[in-house]
Amino acid sequence: MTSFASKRLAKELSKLKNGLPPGIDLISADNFEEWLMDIRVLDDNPIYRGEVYRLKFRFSPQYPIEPPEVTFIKQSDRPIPTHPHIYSNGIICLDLLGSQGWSPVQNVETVCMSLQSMLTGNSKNERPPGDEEFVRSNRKRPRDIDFYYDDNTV
Amino acid sequence: MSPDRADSAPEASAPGRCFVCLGDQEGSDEWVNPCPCSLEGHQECVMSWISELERENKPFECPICKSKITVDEPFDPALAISNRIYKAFSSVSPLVLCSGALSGLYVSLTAYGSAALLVFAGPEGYARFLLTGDADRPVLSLRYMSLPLIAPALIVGQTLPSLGNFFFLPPTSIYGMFSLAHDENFISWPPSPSLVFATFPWIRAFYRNLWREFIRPFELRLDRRIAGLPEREPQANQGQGQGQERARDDQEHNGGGGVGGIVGFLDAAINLLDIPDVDLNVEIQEDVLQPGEEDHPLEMEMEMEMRVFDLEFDTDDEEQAEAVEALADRAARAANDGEQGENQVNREDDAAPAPVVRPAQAEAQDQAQDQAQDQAPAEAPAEAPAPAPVVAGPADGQRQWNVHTSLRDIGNSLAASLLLPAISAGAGELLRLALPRHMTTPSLLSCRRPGLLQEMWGRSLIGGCIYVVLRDAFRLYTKYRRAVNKPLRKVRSVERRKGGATASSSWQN
Repeated sequence: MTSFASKRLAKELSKLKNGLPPGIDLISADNFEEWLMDIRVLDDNPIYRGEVYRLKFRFSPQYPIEPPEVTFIKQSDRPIPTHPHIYSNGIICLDLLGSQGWSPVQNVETVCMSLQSMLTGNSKNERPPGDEEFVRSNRKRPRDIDFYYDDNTV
Repeated sequence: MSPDRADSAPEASAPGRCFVCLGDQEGSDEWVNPCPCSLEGHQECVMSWISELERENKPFECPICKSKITVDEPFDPALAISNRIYKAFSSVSPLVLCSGALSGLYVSLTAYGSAALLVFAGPEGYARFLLTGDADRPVLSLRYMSLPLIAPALIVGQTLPSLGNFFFLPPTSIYGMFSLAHDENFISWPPSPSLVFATFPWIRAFYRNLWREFIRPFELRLDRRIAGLPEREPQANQGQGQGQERARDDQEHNGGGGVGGIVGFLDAAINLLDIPDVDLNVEIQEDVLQPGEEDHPLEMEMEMEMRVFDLEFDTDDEEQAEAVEALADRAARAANDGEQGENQVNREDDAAPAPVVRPAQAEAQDQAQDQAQDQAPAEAPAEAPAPAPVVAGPADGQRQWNVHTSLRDIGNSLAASLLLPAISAGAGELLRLALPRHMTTPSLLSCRRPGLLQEMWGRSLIGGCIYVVLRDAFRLYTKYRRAVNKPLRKVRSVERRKGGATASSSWQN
């Protein structure tokens, strides 16, 4: 598979393998459709201290024209971080990941860094309003959800 | 997030790196720097990104520095013309649509006005209104321009009477004065259509204010009773509220059957017209207008009616409505007292606080409340002082009124307004059938103007007025019956269904 996305992802992968910013680790990148990354916050934010979070990236063939689908996934040692923009099923409300905020200048590494800083800068130990209802009722893929990016404080 | 985005700028290494595919610049690649900042890439890659932006209707701008990205295409006359036309037409099309809609509205309003006039005045009156010149060579009069105004005037007049007064009273007065100056015989009997046109809004405003003064408080009370709210009148505490109200109802319906009724009517009329102000104005007018004798009656009438209009316009304010209600109640009470020969005293009492009606429009709410409270004990020392709910009451009533004015009611009243000409014509036709023949047919011998009832427009006018009065009275009466029935209502008890046999037998009972 030598699509446009594959070529670009191959470049990204080779760069990631050459070195990653602190707190970001590549877990698996066996194909050009789904990658797993680990992130952790670097400072002493009490909400996230000592925890590591697993991110799943799914790429469409139109990547990087289209944004990747990025969610946190839950495993025994990888909880879903508590954040007002992260639902407890791992879906992330971040304009960078929607078609409004995405642009090809972003890549896997910058998305990870954005999420890292999103967690670092957070001081509210809470889920988004309506989290339970959303988690119970949502059957859509993250890219099909219309988020309102109205909160610029976190 | 913005700092990260800044970080994400592609590294500006020596050979260019495409920000889309992350491939390096090679000699054969067509390369582009779409913006002043570090953004660069293959022409093909950047173009595919631009196409995506185009599909999503997003602006072409650099994701980092937000500067605009321009796309060139080979010049093609057809494309250029098409773009030019598209742009020009986009700016014009709202105008085209609006003017289309407006002219459609104009045509339908004209059609409605024409139909209404034809129905109301009959073919003869219709032709007389629209055509001037000889009978042989008729010319379309410029008056047809006024046809589209009929429907809006009807709607505004019926649904927003205050606004209607605001619009109709000044122009018709000017028209009246103008006609008066040009035509010596303008004010004459039987009235000419022009005279009716000039005076009818005043008559209407006067009728509405009579209604508001005398009937509306009663109606509001009925509304409260229908809605199941407690009485707020002090006399209800005295255990005879019902009887008193009924007596008052009778008096109002009969237009003041006895002496007391008439005196009460006059009292309220004086309050209504706010006599002190009117006196003042009339004096001034007389001083100024001594030479122009003939202008007098109308001028005076206008001043007085202006008071009426003020009053009505201001009653939108709840406090104002309360003050008016208080006055009307007092007038009605004066009517009761009048039969005991105390009307003189009451008149003096009533004349003094009359200005209450006016100041409330300028004064603060609590001041108006104070006045209302001051007033209550003053007029009826024997009665218990008005408790707080008396002040709060009208607000409730007003809200009730607003709630009742639902969308459906608006639709009904619009349709009723538009049907008014036809209903008037129907009532006029009934008049023609009901009245003796000599009253409704113009005599061929007389060279005077035909009487009001001898022409179709006049019959329609009178018929319409009678219809409106009857309609209002009937509406009030149904409200009254509903209020009377209210405490007598019971929930119907239905037989319990224990078994099929008992149920069927109970049905036969």
